[in-house]
Amino acid sequence: MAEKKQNLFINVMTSGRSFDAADGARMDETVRYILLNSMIFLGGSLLVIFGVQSLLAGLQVQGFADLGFATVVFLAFAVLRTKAPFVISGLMTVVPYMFLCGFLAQSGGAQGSGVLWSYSFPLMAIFLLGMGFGTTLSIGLLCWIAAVLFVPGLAAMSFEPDFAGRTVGVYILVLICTIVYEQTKIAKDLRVAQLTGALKVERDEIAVMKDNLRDGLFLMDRDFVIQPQYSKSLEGILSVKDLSGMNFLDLLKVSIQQKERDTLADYFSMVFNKSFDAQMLEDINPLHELTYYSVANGDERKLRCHFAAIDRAGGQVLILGTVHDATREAELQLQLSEEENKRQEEMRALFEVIHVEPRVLSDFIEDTEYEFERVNDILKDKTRSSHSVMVEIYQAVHAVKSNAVILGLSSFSTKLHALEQEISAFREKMDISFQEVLHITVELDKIMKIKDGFKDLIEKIVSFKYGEGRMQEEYVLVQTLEKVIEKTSNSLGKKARLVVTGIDAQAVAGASRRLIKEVLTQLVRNSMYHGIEAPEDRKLQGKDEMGRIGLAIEVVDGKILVQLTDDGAGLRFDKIRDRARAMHLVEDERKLEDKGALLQLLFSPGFSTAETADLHAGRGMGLSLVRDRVKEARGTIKLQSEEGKGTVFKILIPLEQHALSAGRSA
Amino acid sequence: MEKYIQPFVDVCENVFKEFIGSELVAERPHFADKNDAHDWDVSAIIGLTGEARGAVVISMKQDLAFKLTGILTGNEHKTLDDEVVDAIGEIINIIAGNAKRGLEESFRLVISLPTIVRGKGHSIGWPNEQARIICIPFKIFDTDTFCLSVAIEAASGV
Repeated sequence: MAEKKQNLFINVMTSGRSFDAADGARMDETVRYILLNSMIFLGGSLLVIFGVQSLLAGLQVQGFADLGFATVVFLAFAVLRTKAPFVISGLMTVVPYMFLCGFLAQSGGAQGSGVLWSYSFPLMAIFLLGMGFGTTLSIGLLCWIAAVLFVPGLAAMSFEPDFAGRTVGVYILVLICTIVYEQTKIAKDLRVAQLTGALKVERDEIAVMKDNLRDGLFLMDRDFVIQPQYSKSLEGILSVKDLSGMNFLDLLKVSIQQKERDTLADYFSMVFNKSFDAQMLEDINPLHELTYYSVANGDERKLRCHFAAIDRAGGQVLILGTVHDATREAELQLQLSEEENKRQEEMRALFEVIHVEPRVLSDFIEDTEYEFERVNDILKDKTRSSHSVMVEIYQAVHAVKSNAVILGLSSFSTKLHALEQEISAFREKMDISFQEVLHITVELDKIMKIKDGFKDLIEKIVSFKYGEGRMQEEYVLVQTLEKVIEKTSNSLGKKARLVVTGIDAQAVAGASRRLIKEVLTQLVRNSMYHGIEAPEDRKLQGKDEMGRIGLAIEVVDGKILVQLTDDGAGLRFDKIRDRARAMHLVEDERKLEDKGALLQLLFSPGFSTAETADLHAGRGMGLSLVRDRVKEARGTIKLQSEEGKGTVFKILIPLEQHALSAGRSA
Repeated sequence: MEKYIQPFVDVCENVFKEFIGSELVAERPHFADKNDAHDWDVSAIIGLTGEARGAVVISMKQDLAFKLTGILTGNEHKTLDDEVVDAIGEIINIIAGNAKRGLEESFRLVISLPTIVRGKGHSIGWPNEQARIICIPFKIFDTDTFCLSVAIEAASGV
């Protein structure tokens, strides 16, 4: 209630303007309103009293004049509350007051003191009406007073000239002082207005810069609280709105761990400390590179932050934080390094390729294309189930991979190995979806694209390398097998050499060449893995440290006979039996005693005595591939083995069939 | 690359189901040489450019084209006339439109308006260098087939 009363009082006194003690700029104006309103009430009331007194005393003219002025003054109160200029109400109040002063001076009062009221007039008039009106009215009143004081008979009483002179002099002094004071005030106001204008322009410029800054800029205090003046882009960069008053460390809650937050707090206290070298601080800045996750929506950004201590008036130290959004740069960097890696890999692949004899490489490409064609025919064959197709693709990829490993094309074979691994997942799965087949098809296409690259390369190399004469098929075969031994012995730490006792050129001509090479590659690898023992074991058994793998290819009775021997450990039936049991391949225990049945197992897909698969062996695919290929060529495999002495593989392939297909392809 | 191919397969399946009222069966994809002879009578070519470049071609024999036109227009056709080409063009437009929506939203790709080619033993000038294309055969009405052939290469050479 009291407040409401006060509000009403303030409202009346300020003519409905709010009164705010803190608003210095508007105080000047408010004071004028309050003064004018005070004058209205005081002067108006006095005029009413004088008017009534005059009427009671029978002075009708004077009484009505007083009441008329009082009406004008109270009217001014109403006008002041409208939008009419201040000066109108001012004149409506000040002019009656001037007449009042004039009247009081003329009527004399006690000992002629009525004239004293006039001294307040210049102050009031100039303050309320400004220099122009105020000075004019004050001089007008001065003239009237001078006339009243000096001209006898004009006033109700007569004044002594000394008194008149002093009275007028003091009035002039008050007037001049008021003018000087007011003029000084006007000059000061002007200067303040100029300064304020200049400051505003400056502030606007800074605000524009701050709002258009790409980087986030903010100040925070010792409690890591973000201050109200931060650059607009900071909200965008951090994906958080209304940052003012937020704790900077809380903003990083999702991005960094508690422990890192503690480190960061330590770092900030070092920044506040200001005794550390700026470069050193930058070097240990934990947020130099930050992967930021917004607390509001989880947006991910790469940020680069920088912090510096700045002094504020009153000895307060704040940290100026700069946050730069480096997401795009980081992306480009990543892209660049990925491309660089790819390029390096390509270079490595290229070096690997040019290390291979062009003849051998083109042989490899031809083999790869052959495998691919075979796979494609199988893909097209609608009678086959996707599962059996996968097994075929698996074998083909395995065969190509084996060849790639031999040639030392490690980056290519790594890719093949990855694909092989992917396909192997489908071996257990009977129901293979269209998407999965499509995926494998696309992957095969990628492999073939690499092969296309090799082909391009070999064409370029061969075009200037030819003329050395074509290498003999048997030489290529021997070289390939020697490479197999070299590769595997390096990775297994074994020693072995290939001893060729004879190769019939007729057998390795034409189409049988590929079959023989493929089969022998697998068998030699098999010998290296499972046959030849480690050098120290061989020494213990009284064997030569260097294992011996013998090869003979001849044509006997219209059949190609391939013999591959090794002087290794031979087949260890107990090991095969254990593995068969572990893999639950045979349910019938009696069958496990039958060596023939165990040999069958040896050639079945997926069987391997090695524990883990690597690029070279262990997938158990090698021997099943040999079996399938020989079967396709309507050939037979014989296996002789003596534990501790070695193994002999004898493969018979009909020559006619190959001569025939060779003739076809020629 | 299958991320670009699979949408076409899905869209084909949906469009045939919705507009022809027949379930498609996508069969095992295989490779083909783009220079190999084929016996398709009508092909529709949809070009792709952007982060991957290439073309998707839908090819069919005239018997299937006649059947599809019959379902769409109610008229029986015996020759590969304009109405047949228009009807097939319409189906392909729907397929391309739907594929466009899906692909252009997810990838930086632009898909062209389809072009229809007719004529026995027509050959298609594929935009890519390699000879190998991936063919996805679709079985429809139990006995008919048409083929979705794809040759797409990532622009940055993935």
